[in-house]
Amino acid sequence: MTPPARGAAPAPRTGGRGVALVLALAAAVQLVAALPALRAALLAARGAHAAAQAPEGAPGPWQPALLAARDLPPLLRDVPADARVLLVGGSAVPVAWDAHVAPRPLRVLLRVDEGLLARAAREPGLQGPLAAWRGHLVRRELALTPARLARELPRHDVVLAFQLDPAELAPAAAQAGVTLHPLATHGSATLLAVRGP
Amino acid sequence: MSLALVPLVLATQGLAGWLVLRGLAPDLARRWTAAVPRALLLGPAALALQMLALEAAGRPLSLAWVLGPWWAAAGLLAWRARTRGAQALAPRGPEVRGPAHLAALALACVLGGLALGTGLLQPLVAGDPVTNAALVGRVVATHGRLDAAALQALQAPAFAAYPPLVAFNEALLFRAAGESWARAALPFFALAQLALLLLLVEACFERLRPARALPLALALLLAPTLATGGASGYFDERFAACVLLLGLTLRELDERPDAGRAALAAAAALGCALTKPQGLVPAVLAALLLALRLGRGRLPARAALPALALLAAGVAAWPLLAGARGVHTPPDLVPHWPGVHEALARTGAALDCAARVALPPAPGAFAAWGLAWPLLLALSAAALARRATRAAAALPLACAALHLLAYAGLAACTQLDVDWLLATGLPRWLLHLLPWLLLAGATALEDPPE
Repeated sequence: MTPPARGAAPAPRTGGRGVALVLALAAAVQLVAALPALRAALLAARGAHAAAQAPEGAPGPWQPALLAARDLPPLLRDVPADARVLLVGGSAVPVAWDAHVAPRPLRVLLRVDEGLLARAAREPGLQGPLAAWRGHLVRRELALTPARLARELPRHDVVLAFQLDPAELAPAAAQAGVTLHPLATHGSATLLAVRGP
Repeated sequence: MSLALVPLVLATQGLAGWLVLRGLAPDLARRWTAAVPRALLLGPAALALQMLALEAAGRPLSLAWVLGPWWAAAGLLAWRARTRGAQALAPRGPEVRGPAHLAALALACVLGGLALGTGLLQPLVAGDPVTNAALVGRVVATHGRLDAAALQALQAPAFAAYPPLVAFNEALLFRAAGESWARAALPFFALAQLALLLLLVEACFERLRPARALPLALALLLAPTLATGGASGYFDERFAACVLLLGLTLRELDERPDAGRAALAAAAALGCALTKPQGLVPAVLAALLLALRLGRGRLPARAALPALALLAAGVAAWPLLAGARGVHTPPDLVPHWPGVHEALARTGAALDCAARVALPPAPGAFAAWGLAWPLLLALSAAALARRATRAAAALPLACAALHLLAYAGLAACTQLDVDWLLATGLPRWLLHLLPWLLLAGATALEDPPE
C-alpha cells in the first residue's frame, strides 16, 4: 500500500468503530493495570529517598551502598586529594567505594562471611552472580585477613572503618608498628589517621 | 563545580542532538514533537562520539572541550539565521494533530515528568547502573580522560569495556556536579524515558486516525513497565527509544530515500550500539537493511554509503579505542561457546522464557505489561493476515524475530547462569523488542488504500 504523506489527514472512512472500541477497552484495562504500578513506583521512589536520608532502617543488600553514599563524602571532605586511603569494610557487599573516595588512591579490604555467602548461594539464580563476585574478591585480594591488614596499614595515610568497630583494627596496627588516630565519625564510618612508629 | 551546572550539561546534550538533527533532517528539526525525542537521543550519542574523538586525539574530556563547540555552533547558527532572516527556522507542517494527539502528548510529558521527579528523589548508588557506567564515568570525570590504570585499579566490580554512551555522558554530569555526583545521574535517564514515550505517541499518530491512534497510544503509555520507567538508572528505555527511532526512520526512508534520512537511521543504530552491548544487533540489522535498499536500487549510493560508513566507524570506534587503552571486559563476562548441545538448550530456554514473560498467563506478566504484548501480537497477526498490510508488517516482524533470536543466541554464549540471566534480563529485552511489534501492529489499524 502507499502510505499517506507525513502530516496529511487520513481519508475519512465509515465503520471501524468496533476496532476503536476494542482499543479503548484495552486502554481502560491498561489504566487499571498502570495505577497500582504507578503508585508502587512513587512509593518506591519515596522509600529510596527516605532510605538515602536514613539508611540504617533500609532493608536488604542496598543498605551498605546507601550508608556509603551518605557517610563517606562528609568524612573525606578534608582529606587531601593525594592521600592514600585504606577502606576496611564490615560486610562483603559490592559498593561503589571508588566513586565516593575518588580522586584519592584506594585500597579496600572486606570482612567476608563465608557462611552468609554459602547461604546466599543456595538461593535460586544467585549462584552465577555470587561466583562472579567471589572471583572478584579473590582476583583483587579484597578479603580482610589479619596479615593482609597488617601489610596494608603502613602503606596508607588514612583508614576508613566502614560498618566496622575501629577497635578491631588495633591488633593489626600493633603488628604493623603503626598507630591509628580517630579523626571523625559519620554514621557508619570512622576516619582514622595512620601514624608511623 | 556544583549541581547548578548539571542543567547546562543536560541542555547541551539536547542542543547537540538538535544540531545533528538539523543537519540530517531539517524538516524534523522544525517540529518540536519530532525534534524533542530525536534531540534527546542523538545528543548524548553525538557527545559520546565527540569524547571518543577527543580521547583518541589526546585532548582532555573537560566540560569546556566537550560542551563549548556545541554552543559555539549554536551561536553561529543563530547569527546566520538573524542575518539571513528568520524564515529558515519557521515551522512547517502540523505540530499537534488535534485534541487526541495533544492528550497523548500531554500524558507522555506527565509520565516523563514523573520519571524526572522520582529520579531527582533518588541517588544512584548500586547495581548495574553503577557497575556498567557510573564507575567509569567517575574515573573519566576525575581524571579528565579514559585512564586505563585508574580503571584497572578500581576496587569495586566494574564493566569498564561496556559501550561508553552512558558512562561518558555521566562523566560530564559528574564533573559538573562534583561531590553531589550521585544525585546528578538519574535526570539523564528520565529524559531518555520522555524520548521513548514521545516516539511511541509519534508511532501511533503518524499514520493512524486519531480514534484509533489515541487508544493504542494510551494502551502503550499506560503499560506499567513503560509508565513507571526511566527512574532506575537502567539503560533500557534509551535503548528501546533508539530502536524505535531506527524503525521509524527506516519507514521514512521508503518515502524519502535521501542521505539525511539514511544517516539518521545509522545514527539511531549507532545510539543502540553505544548504549548497550546488545546494540550490535540493531546496528547489524540497520546495516543489512540499508545495504538491501542499496542493492535493490531503492536508496542511492550517495545516501547509503556515507550512512554505512558512519555506522561502521561509530560501532568500531569504542572497541578499537578500548583495546588500544587496555580497557578490558571482566573475565566472567567474556562470551564463550558452550558446545552445540548446551547452546541449543540455552537458546530454547531463552525463547521459552520470552514467551512466558510476555504473555498474560505467566505470573507477573499482566502486572508488568498489562495488555500491551497480547494487543501488539494480535495486531501484528492481523496485519500479517491482511493482504494490504502484509508487506508493511513483515519487515518489522522479521526484525523482531531476528532481534529475539540474536538475544537467545547471546544468552547461549555467556558464562553467566542462564536462569539468572533470563530472570533479570528478559523483561528488559522485551522492552527492546516492543518497537518492532508496535511498527508491525500499527499497520493493521491503517486505513486501506483508496
